[in-house]
Amino acid sequence: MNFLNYQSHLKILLKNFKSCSLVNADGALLYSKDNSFELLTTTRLVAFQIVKKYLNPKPQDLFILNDPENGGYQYSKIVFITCLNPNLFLIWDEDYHFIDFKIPPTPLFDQGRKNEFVWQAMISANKNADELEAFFEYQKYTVDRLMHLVSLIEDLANSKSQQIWLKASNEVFNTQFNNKAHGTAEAYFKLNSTQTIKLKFSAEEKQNLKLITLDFTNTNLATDIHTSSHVIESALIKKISEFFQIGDYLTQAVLDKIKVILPPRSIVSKPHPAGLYNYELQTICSQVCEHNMTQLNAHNRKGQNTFDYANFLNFEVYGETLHANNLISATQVSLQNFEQLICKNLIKMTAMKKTDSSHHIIFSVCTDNPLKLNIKNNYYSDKLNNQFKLNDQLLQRGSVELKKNDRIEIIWG
Amino acid sequence: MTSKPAVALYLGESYATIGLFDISQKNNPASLFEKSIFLPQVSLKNLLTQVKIKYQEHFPDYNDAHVFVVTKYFDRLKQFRLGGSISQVILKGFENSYNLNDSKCLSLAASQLIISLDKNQFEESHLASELERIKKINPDLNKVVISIPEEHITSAQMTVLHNFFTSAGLKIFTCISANNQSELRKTLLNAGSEGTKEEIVTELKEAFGEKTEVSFYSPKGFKTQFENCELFNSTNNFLAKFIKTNKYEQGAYFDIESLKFIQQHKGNNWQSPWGSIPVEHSHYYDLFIHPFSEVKLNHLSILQVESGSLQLEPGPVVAGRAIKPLMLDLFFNEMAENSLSQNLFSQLSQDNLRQKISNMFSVLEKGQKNPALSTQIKDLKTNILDSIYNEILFYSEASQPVVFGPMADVFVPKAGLQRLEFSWPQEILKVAASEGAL
Repeated sequence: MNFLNYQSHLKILLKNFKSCSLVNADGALLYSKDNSFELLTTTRLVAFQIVKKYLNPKPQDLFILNDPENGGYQYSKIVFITCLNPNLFLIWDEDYHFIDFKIPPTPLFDQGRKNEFVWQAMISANKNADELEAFFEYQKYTVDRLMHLVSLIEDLANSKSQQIWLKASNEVFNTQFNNKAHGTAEAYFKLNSTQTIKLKFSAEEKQNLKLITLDFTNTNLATDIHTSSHVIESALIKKISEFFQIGDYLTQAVLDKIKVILPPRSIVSKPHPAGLYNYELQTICSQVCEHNMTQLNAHNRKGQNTFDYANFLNFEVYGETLHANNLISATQVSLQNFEQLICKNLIKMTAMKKTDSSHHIIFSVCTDNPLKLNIKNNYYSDKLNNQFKLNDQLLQRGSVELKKNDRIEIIWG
Repeated sequence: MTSKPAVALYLGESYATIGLFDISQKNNPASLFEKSIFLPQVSLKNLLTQVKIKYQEHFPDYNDAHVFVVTKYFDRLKQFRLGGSISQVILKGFENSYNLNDSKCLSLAASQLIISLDKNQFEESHLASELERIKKINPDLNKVVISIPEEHITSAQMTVLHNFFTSAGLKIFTCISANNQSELRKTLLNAGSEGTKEEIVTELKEAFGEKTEVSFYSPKGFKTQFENCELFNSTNNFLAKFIKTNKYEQGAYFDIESLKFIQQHKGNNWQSPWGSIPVEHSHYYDLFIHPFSEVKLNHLSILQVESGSLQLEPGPVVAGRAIKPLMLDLFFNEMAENSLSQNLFSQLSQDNLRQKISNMFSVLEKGQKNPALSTQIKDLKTNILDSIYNEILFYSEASQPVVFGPMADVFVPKAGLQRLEFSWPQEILKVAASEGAL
């Protein structure tokens, strides 16, 4: 098998997953993709290491976890770990917004058989038992679908083939590393009046050793806003992979060339119990990292060198059965499931306007059943005209309950 | 018995196959003429002219042919923003609301051509000044989508709108549920693809006469009345029907412009490049590798088939004009034995063309800079066939996969897969007959 063959095998096996990683028995990353808003490459690797160490996964086992303080990302992001072959493990994550409780590493299926104890305690007792059961059954089905690709899985699990693939990705990294500028660049972002995130990026080759270092030294200690180191690492790895155009070749061979220095218990290395600030801090660090790499590679290094944060608005609206996660940024508007809220008469739009540079949305609640609104990040900026109002009162980050006839107005841009 | 004509047309993105039949004996239609053309080189009009000669020869007394069309031609629109000649009449405050669900989707309407109305702006004078404004932006504007929620407009005001735009010579498309953004997208897509449908119908009527009845394959079978958005999945729906008729649940279809896997079960929301559209369609998956993808050295100097961009024009080198080798060209030897390829690419057997293709691939092979990341053309071909085979297994799960289509003999890589014979004109006519449409 050559590396192109290995690559097409990987893509076919993982075609239906939006966000997943494949590792071998040593935990070496063979493939990773992150096509959701949230980025979890390193989170999935941490989840795998925890399950491997304490639960020793066997073929057709299926484990789950979501605890942000123990290898997870946030309650609603369920991380699945399964063994496809003794030398091949698949880790993926899926959103299920009606899980609002902590799940430690838990065996959901034991060598293909349902773990009745867990099923009873966690699923049958839940108020959304039917939906939850269907969700987990579907995840099991997605793995079962893969298991009939016996020959393809054996090829991917073959140690010799894995070495060929890792060697190819090492070559790709070396080529791309040499195509970019070497040196250092640093920038900072003020989270608030007292807290700062500082990131120094360096790309250096010493004694034939190519190394990218991301150093958060001098970032403040965590107070109220903070996240796990693996959450930050996932965002940085994705940004580096994009900037260096590594594509499918993001493997352990590349991860071994990236060193991340995170001061203990700082904003970027202290897990938050509910993972509330993960996406916001990922976005900030990702933008700072990109700024540094762009500065380092700019032809005119005397150009703009202060970091300007491109803010965004992330908010969710949900009821008992419907959940809409929404993102508005300078480059994208994504009101997922919003149309369903309208069609099911939970909300009524009175404005929904998009021009080249701004968005204006007004809706009112038309259901007697309570809806919840949660603004997930600090979208507000004195410099811009961005507003999020409930009955003409400006809202900041946080959660509020919406009543019938409440009026929401969003102005962006 | 008197002869009676029927025409079966498969109109793809890059090629067309047509068959002329005498259906006087419904149980045993006689094929009188069949031909395939490669559209970048021969126009549909040219093909229809050839059929017309045969038609007049065999059916001198007929001037009302019945043409059955299955099409993939609308896929050509999938790469483009639509709505350049469409105005949207919507309520003030809802400008461009149709793409807030996901602004990364392709646009369906031009912002500059929007006429946004307040409740008190439905009078003719206001409409006239707005129309004058947008006609300055696009004088060729010829369609209008009206999307005003029922609770904001009286029937008398709606009549004013209809009368105004009808007298202005614009074709009107009314969104039946203006509060529903996916219905608005559907109406905009119907309007945006109207020109393409009219182009096809006009060419058929020019060839066979004004009274010609043109039936397109829609989710409800061959129909003369349908929504244009239903034609985007005409081929997939037809192939699903073929699979079902042959008592299979799913199958892989191969021709020169698509490699896909089709399933029986249907969905009601089509994830189009313009966003989700509520239209019934059979489930299908395009395989990773597309026959019209370029074989090139990528930014890493790795020889591979590029995914994404399709080179429909000028097509593969085997067609004679192209200078970029495509995935199809890798199989020029195998295609020499394939009847559709022989039909479409007349130069395929010429030694100088075959030598040219070999040279192109040889240049690519030698252009690879890093020996550790180098691939030979023969290995690339093996990889492609392996990939196709594995993807078929992936989709077919535990059931026995079946493969069919005009290029099945070229791309079906291994024994063990069941193959069905398939000919577009014959199958189109069989389905038309089974629906009692002949």
